[in-house]
Formats: sequence, C-alpha cells, structure tokens
Amino acid sequence: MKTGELRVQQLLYGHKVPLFEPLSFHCQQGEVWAVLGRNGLGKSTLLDTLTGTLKPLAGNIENEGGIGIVAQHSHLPFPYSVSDVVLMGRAQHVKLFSQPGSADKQKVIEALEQLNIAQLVSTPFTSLSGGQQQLVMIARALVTASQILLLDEPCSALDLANQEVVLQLISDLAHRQHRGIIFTTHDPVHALQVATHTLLLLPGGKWLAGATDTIVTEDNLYQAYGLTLRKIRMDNYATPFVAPLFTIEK
Amino acid sequence: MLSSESFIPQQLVLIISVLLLGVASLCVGQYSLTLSEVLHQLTHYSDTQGIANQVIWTVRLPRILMALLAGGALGLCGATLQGVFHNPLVDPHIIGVTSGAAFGGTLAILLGLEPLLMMGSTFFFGLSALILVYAIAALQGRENALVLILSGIILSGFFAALVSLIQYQADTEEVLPNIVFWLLGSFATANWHKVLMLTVPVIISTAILFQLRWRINLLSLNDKDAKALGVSVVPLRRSVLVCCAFLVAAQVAVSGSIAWVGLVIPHLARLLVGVDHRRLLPTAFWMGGGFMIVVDDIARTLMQAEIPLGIITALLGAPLFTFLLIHSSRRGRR
Amino acid sequence: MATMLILRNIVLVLASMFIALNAQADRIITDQLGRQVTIPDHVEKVVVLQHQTLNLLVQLNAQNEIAGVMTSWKKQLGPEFSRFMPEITSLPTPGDLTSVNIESLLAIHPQVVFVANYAPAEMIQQIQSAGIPVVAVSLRKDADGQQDKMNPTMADEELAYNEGLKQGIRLIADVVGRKPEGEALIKYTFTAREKFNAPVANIPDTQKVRVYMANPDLMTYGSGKYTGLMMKHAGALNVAAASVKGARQVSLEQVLQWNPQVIFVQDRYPQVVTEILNDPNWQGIDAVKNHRVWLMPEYAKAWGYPMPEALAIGELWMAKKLYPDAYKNVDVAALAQDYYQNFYRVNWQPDAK
Repeated sequence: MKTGELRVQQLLYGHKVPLFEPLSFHCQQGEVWAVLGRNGLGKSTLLDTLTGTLKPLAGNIENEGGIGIVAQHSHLPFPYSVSDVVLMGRAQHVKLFSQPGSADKQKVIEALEQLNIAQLVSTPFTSLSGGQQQLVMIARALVTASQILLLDEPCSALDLANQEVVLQLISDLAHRQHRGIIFTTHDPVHALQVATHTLLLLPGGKWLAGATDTIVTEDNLYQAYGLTLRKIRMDNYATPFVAPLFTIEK
Repeated sequence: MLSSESFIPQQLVLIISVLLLGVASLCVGQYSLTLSEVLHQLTHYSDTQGIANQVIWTVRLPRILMALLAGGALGLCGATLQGVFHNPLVDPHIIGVTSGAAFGGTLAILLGLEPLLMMGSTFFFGLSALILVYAIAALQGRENALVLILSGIILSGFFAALVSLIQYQADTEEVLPNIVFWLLGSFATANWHKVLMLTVPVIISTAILFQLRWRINLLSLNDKDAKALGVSVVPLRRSVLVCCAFLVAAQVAVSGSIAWVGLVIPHLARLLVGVDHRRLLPTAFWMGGGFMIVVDDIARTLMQAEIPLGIITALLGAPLFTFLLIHSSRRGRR
Repeated sequence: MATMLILRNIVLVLASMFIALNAQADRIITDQLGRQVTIPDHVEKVVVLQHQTLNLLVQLNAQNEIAGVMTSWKKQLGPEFSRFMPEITSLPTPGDLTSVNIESLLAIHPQVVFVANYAPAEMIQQIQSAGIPVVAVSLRKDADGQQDKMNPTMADEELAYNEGLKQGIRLIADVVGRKPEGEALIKYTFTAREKFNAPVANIPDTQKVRVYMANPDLMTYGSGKYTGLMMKHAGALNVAAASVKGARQVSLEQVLQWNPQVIFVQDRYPQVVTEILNDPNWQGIDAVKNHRVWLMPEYAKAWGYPMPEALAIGELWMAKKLYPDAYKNVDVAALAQDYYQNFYRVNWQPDAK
C-alpha cells in the first residue's frame, strides 16, 4: 500500500442491510474514479462509508494518507468568512488545545490561489454563489492534505460553465497533484469527460468497475438506467458523450 | 470582517474598558463617596476601621468582581453553546443546568439550609442536570445536537416543575418571598468568600474553553461534516458541555439564576468581532462581564433597596435582542 | 481631713470609671433566633426590616428611634399606618424582609437592625459583618432546635405564640430602652384577652362557628399560625387548620368542601370581600349565602404572627361578631378607642363593617 491509495476489498456497506454485493476496487494516485448510478442507489452512502462516518458491514478499506470529502450540501449556521471555512480543513493538523498557526494559514491561501478564488478570502461564505461555495469546499478538502479526495455530486447543482470548472479542477488535482479522486455523479458524460476509471452501480445490488471506456458502454448504461442511450464520438472531440434516445410522448 | 492584525489591539481596548468600568463602578452606590475618597481607600487597605473603607473593600469590590466573573461566564457559555448547538438562539439554560441549580437552591431555602450547604446543593443539582441530560440522550440511543437539546428541554421543564412544586408547598409569608427573590438573582450578599468560590471554576473552565475556541468553529458544523474533517465530535462536545455546566452551576450557586445575558451578549459580540469563535469567545466573556457590572450598578444604586438582577436583565435584554434581530434581518435583506 | 480627701477622690475615681464604662459599655442580648448579640447600651437609632416589629416599636412609643424601614411597609401594614407615625413616609427604605442594600444601610449608620426570623441567613451574616448588630424577631417561642424552621411542628401552638409574643415585646423593649412600656403593653393585652375570652372559652369544638380566613388569591392560614389561635379565642374553628399547614394557597374545591359558616377578610385586603361576593363560584358557600362575609377592623390583625392589639381587642371583636349575645353589654368600639389612645396615641377610626 503506497501512500495515496485507497483499496477496498469485499466491502459490504449500508445502514443495516448491504446495498450491494461485496465491492472491491483500487484507486491509485493520479486516478479519477467516477461512481456512477441512478439516484438513491447508495452513492453518497458509499462515500460516507469510505470516510468512516458510517461503519462498513463487512470487508476492508485500506488507506494511508487520509481521505478528504467535499459534501454535496454545505450548511453553516454562522456567516463564516471563506478563510475561516477553509481553515477548518486543518483540523487534523492542529493540536487539540492549540490554535492554527501561520503554516496553516499559508496552506489556506495556497488552496484558494490554486482554485483562483483568492480574492474571496474575506467574503462571508453565505453570500457566495453555488459554484463559488463548491470551490471553497474543495479548497477546504485540499488543506486537509489528504491524498484521496471524495466529492459527492460536485456538479449536480452547478450550471454548465461551473461544471466545466469543477471537472477541470478534478482533472488537475489528479494529474498535476497526483492525488486520487473519487466523485459521484448520475450523469455519464461527467465520467466520460474526466474519469480514468468508473464504478457503475446497477440496480439489484450489482456493480461494475474498471477503465471508463470499457465500463461506460451503451449496454451497461441501458442496464443502469433502463433507457436507451447512444454513445457518440464526434470527430473533433477527444472524449465521447452520451445522448438519450427516448422521445417524450405528446 | 476584521483582519487579524486589528483584533489584538481591539481586544485590549475592550478589556481595558471593562476594567475601567469596574473601577468607575467603585464610585457608584447608595453610600456616597467622592472620587478622591474612593482612590484613597483603594490605596489604604490598612485602615479597616472606617465605613468608607468597608464600603469599598467588603461591599463594592467583591461585588464588582463577582459581577464581572458571573457575566463573563454567562457570555462565554452562551457563545460556546450557540456554536456547539449550531444555533444562535441558544441560551446557556438549554443544557438544563440552570433549572437543576435553581431546584437545588430552592430546595435548600425550603429546608432552611445554611449558606454553604445551599451553595453546595445548587452546584450539585446543577451538575446532576447535565448528567441526566446525557442519560436521557443515551436512552434515545444517539448523541447528536438535536437529541441533547431535546433532553435539555425535557430536563429544564422537569426541574422547573419541581421548583414550582416547592413554591406551592412553601409558606407564603415566610419562605416564598425568599425563594422568589433568590430565583431572580442578586449580587447583594457578595463577599470575598463567594468571589473565591466563583473564581476557581471560572478560571479553570474559561481557560479550557479559551484554548478550545477554534475547535468550537468545527463543532458548529453538523456532526457528519465535523467527523469527516477528523474531529472527534462526541468527546469534544462532552468536555465543552462539562465546562459550561461548571460555569453555569457556579454562577447560579453564588448569585441565583440570571437570564438573558447568555443569549444576548454573544449576539452583541458577533456584531463587534464577527462569528469566528477564536475572537467571539473572549469578546463574549468581556462584554458579558462589562454588561453585568452595569446591571449590578443599576441594581444597587437606582433605588434605595436592592432590585433583583433578573428584572433588569430582562428589561434591558429583551429590547436589545429585538433590536439585534431587526438589525440583522435588515442586513440580510440588503 | 486627709482621709476624707482620699475617700472623696476614691469615690470620684470610681464614679467616673463607672460612668465611663457605662457610656461605652455594650450589653449582650439574646434574640429570638437564639443568637447572642452585642448591642450598645443606649440604642437611639434603629432600622426595622419587619412589619410586626415596626408595629410594636410604635406601640412602645419608640418611633423616634426609627431611622429606616422596610420598603413594603405600606403593603404589609396598610397605608393607614402612617396615621400612627406620620414621619414614616419620609424615612429611607434600605431593604425589605428578605433583602437589604448594605450601602443604603451603612449610609444610615443605625445601631441595631431588626429583621424577621426568616430573613435569609446570608443577609443577617452580611449586616453583622458590616459591624451592625442584627436582632431577629419571631414572636414565637419554639422548642429548641426549631427556632428558624419555617413551619415548626408545635406541640403547643398556644404556648408558643403567647410566650413568643411576650418574649418578643420584652426583647424589642429592652433594645430600645422601653422596658416599662413593654411590660405595660403585655399586661394590658393579656389581661384584656383573658377577660373577654371568658364568655366563649368553653364552647366545645363541635359547636364552634366554622370560619375561613380569606386572603387574596385563595391564600389562607392553616395550622401553626396565630390566625387559628385567634379564631379559637373567639370561639371559632379555623376550617383550614385540620388539613393545611402554614400559610398557603388552597383550591376553591377545598373551600367548597369546608363550607365555612363565616368568612373573614383582613383589613388590608378590602378587595377580597367584593371579589367573593361577586364570584359565582362562591355563592354556594354557607357564609356567602347567609351574608356572613366580613371585613375585619384594622386592629383585628389575624396574621400568622400575633400582634397585641389583635389579642386585646381583635379577638373580642371577632367573638362578638360570632356570638353577639355573649357580649351584649360590651362596647368594642370604646375598648378599641382606649387601646388606640394608650398605645398609638391617636383616635381609633372605625372603617370596617
């Protein structure tokens, strides 16, 4: 086990009853894993189990180097400033009775700069747009200095422009910073665009995992969504995309 | 928001202002003393014969110190608990300690216990209330903020009912007036002994909470987010609640129950320094102390007899809180 | 000749020593909480934080020594009390029954402070620590060890209050140097009482008139209070005494169950009479049906604590009200006038029905 790897072996997870057959996959540094599936199957629950919030029912999760998570919704009871919010990510690096020091504050600035939101440092979090809030939360996950980052539906509430920003960021974090990224989504296009690997969750407790191209196929998507979809490659674009082929009855 | 550079000098200004307020309060009271007399007595403790000396050293000074410590404890507690329970409408009474302590004191008055035993009873029942809150939470099988708040409400209601029962049982001529006056809070019988009894828990708990002030930011997140950031929420929250329980129980033991301070002061402090608890907690302490000194000045000077503190804090606190709510909602609308 | 000179000098020295000692001398008295209190020999300036003591001081003709009173004197004694002591309205009010503003007290420089026996121990401690002697008055002589309990189980209530009142009057008189006035008050009170209780002294319990004492908000006095004794001396039975202990709030159901034949209301609560007469819930009660809801005169202080005027003429008034035939030839008003002239030094003004 190298630092920055997440190895899952024969994992059974769920609140009381296992949601899936024993799950095994291995996320390495530099890889981007998309967890793809319909809403309500258990994608978020998987992330909770990986971070330790929910206890696994059986199986192994091996990790060194820490796991950081960016939740889908962030609710803050008080209008903390962006720097206060991101600084919270340093919790594991600050001793119990100590206060964050200049090194911690430096990490905060670095993370904000990396995400191009350094100018928001003193803005109250509550007055930011959805996309900006998402970036701040990613910055917070970054300063935890975890090697593996989990993102729960990072694009679901964002407009297309912001989605592109986030997806590009995910790619940079993986390839330029050599972290392992796992993100959940219900949109196969996100997986095609940025994920090196995909974990496809199917109804009935089944799952498929592997390189994105092999997993995100029309057949598998029909199994997953119950809809006919066409995977289309266009000449000028490196990544394929998926289009729905259903028509609405009038 | 303030930059970190301007915070320390601002805190110093606040602390010095409060201390000056305390010294100024030495000049205020029903027994008239001029400023020069006050300063003279402050520097000549050896003169224990004169009434002026007595007024300064055994009446006003312990009383002002007690007001500072009690108000500071309540302000600090209120700010901390508002963070821990993710809710700016929380009052220190929410953990049930005030009601438990009120029961302990009322019971002591009914039984005619002597002052030291009465303080012990108040303190003991105050702390027991927190233990019972955790017991009720444990029975529910979970220990998150909502469960604790509900348990606190249940327990507060229960102890309040016991207090009412005692009031009903009490002799209306001889015992009831005593109970009613004590429940409204007063520093009238402050002495150095009581100040010492308040100082010890206040210093210990305040020191601990002061060191944990950044962690309160983390506790103010919901449990899942905090845990995901690596915070051991349950033990940390327990320790914080125990510290707050000590603060509140000690305060009620020496001066009866004082309402509104723990609710309103944190909001005022937030107006001044923002929501980061690293700044909020010390500011809430000092503002609470200053506020309490002013309230006590009114209590002992406005009329010839003593006015119970609860009346003044309510008359000042409620309008102040209304103003704060209006002000913050106006800001929100902009 | 020389011997005479020496003798004279010795006598002079002894005399001056005696005078000097006396002037600075303190004396030790025991108050009704059993506390030994050191007070100056001559007390000319007191603060009174208990209304019963205030009433007694006025009757002992010591009102000029009073330098401060309790804030709630009007509520406790009625505003008419200023008739007996006009200067009371301008006196400072440094505290009340259960609290004191120590600075206001110090500003008055009193030599003694009178408090109730149930004043909080902290308050008594604080005043003593400030160097001012505190004398607690209870007007009740309890068995040892129960002196400051609120509702002591008294083996003999009668004895406790009789002896307690005498002890209290003597204590107060002693403090302010009115010993002869104190004895006079005691003698007058107990002689009058014995005389006028006689006609109703032997009525058996089953034939006693059943009486309820109505304070505002359904408050009344149960056992252990002077109120019940007053009724007993008037040949009446306190309906609340059997099941209620001390001064307490009761429920309307209880009053309906007791169904008193007479309802008395103290002079300081005239509104209660109107309330009872106009409240439909009370109309079923015997006393209301037969128009026997009476406001008592000022001197008939049917309080928890005994007051001499209550013993001397109050009980008489009540007895005559309940058993008019037994007192055909007794002119209560004249007796009241006599008492007021003697001890309040003003005229009695009837204002009760």
